[in-house]
Order: sequence, then structure tokens, then C-alpha cells
Amino acid sequence: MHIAEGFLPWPHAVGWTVAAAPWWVVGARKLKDALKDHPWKRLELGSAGGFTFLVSALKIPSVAGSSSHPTGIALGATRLGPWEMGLVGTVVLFFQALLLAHGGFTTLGANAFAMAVVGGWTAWWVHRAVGWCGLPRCWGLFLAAFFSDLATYATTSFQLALAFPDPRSGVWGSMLKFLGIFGFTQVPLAVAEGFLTVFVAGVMHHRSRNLQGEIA
Amino acid sequence: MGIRRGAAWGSLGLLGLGLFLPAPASGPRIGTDDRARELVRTLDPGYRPWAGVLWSPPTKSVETSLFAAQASMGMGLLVGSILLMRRRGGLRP
Repeated sequence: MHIAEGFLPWPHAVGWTVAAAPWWVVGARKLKDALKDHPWKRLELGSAGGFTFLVSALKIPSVAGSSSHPTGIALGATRLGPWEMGLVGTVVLFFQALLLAHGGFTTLGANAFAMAVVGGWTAWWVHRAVGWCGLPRCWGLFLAAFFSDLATYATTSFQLALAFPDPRSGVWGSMLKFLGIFGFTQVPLAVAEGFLTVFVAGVMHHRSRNLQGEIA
Repeated sequence: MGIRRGAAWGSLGLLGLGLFLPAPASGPRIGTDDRARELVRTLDPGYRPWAGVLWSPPTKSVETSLFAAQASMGMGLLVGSILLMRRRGGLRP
């Protein structure tokens, strides 16, 4: 989902950066308060950030001779919160732009909006909705990761389609073309990310429950 | 534990399956980011990126190594945090 450096016209790049900025500011404040009030969340932050770093670096082969990577944002969004993960996801994207030339600084706002903001909030809402339905927690985590991954790529498709509408079918026609590229490849990876998130969250949940009890 | 084990096997199975999916006859697998860039060039052949990367890995192997380094950092952070949780959890009376 990394839109490459310079691959969004500058008004779009600025617009998406402005759209993502409030999430960074509020996320930084919430993260600071959370770490101050709940010191055990430092370890949750470390594990959520580590998980995002890890899985977003994995280029995984998928169907139709293509490869892509999961986002890893859902784990942190459901445990730390979507605001906090908006900032953490952006830091991961920043490092990828800086060290790997993957994504870019001009497109950081757009990429962060797709992965950290839309992906994070989708995960959070899906997780809550599944909880309201009374389904098991592992289902909530699985579906949160699955839909977060797909929502990220749908948003990237929309961002690119808005910037490069199809001459004949317009923005929506263009979006369908971009979705055709991302969607087909991403569905198996979203399923895999769902399983992986359930597994890691299971390990973390057990450990951090003990830790919360210790500090309280 | 059963759910965790099932999820671990499920994710490993799916990720492993990806490695055995047939690659295209014309060459190696293409990343979706690269495909999206190609589509941008098709939709707007006159578009020229207005900013370039400050630095890019000189060779494919360096790029792969950097991705591996990022994954290792992430893995270290993840495992380190979980081990710390475990250690502190273990100290609980």
C-alpha cells in the first residue's frame, strides 16, 4: 500500500497530510497520557510496534504472480487504541521511507492515513462490533485484522483513483482498477494476518494480564 | 492454548502456501506497489513524479537485507516485550 515518492500530485499529497495530521497530534497526546498513567502499556507499545515493523517488512508471495505485505496495525489498534496506533503506524512508515525508499515523505500523509488511521479505526470498530455481538474474542481479533488490512488497501486505491481518474470511467472506474491490483493479492494475506494477530494477541494477553495485576 | 496453536498453524500454513504458489512464467513476482505504479503510468502517461527518493538501496540484495533487518528489529522488539511481560508476570506473588 506504499504509494511511492512523488506519485501523488502535490495538492493531493498536501491534502492527505493535512487529513492525517490531527490523528498524529491526538495520538501523541493519548500515547503520552497512557504511558504515564499505565506504565505496563510500554511493553504493549513495544510489542505492537514490533509486530507492525515485523509484518509490514514481509513481502509475501500471493496469487496471480504478485506479492504484497500485511500491515500489522490491528494488533496495536485493538490493544493500545486507534489514536495511539495512528502515530505508531506513521513512525513505521517514516522509517520505511527513510531507510528502504519504500513509500515516501511526500506520500507519508496519504500512506499513514490509509494504514494507520483507516486501518487502525477499522480494526477497532470491527473488534468492538464483534464484541457487541457476543462472539469469542479471537473472532474479533481475526476479523479486525482481516478488515483492517483490506480497508487499508481500499483507501490506497481510492487515493490513487482520486489523483488519477480513468479517462472514460472516472474516479470509480479507476478505483476498481486499483482494487483489482490490490484486492486479489491481499485477501489471502489478510486471512494470514488475521491468524497471526490472534496468535500474538493470545500470547500478549496472557502475559499483560499478569503484569496489570502485578502493577495494580 | 488450542486457539493460539490453531492460529499459529493457520498463519504458518497460509504464509507457507504463498511460497509454493506458481510464479508467472515471464519472471519473478511483481509487488502490488509496482503494479499500481504501472497503472498510474497507463492512466496518465504524461505524469512525472514531482519528487524523487533521497536514497534508495543500490542493489536488490541490499534492499532485501534492509527489509530483513527491519523484520529482525520488529521481531526483536516483539519478542523482547513479550519476554519482559513474562518475566514481570512471573514475579507476581
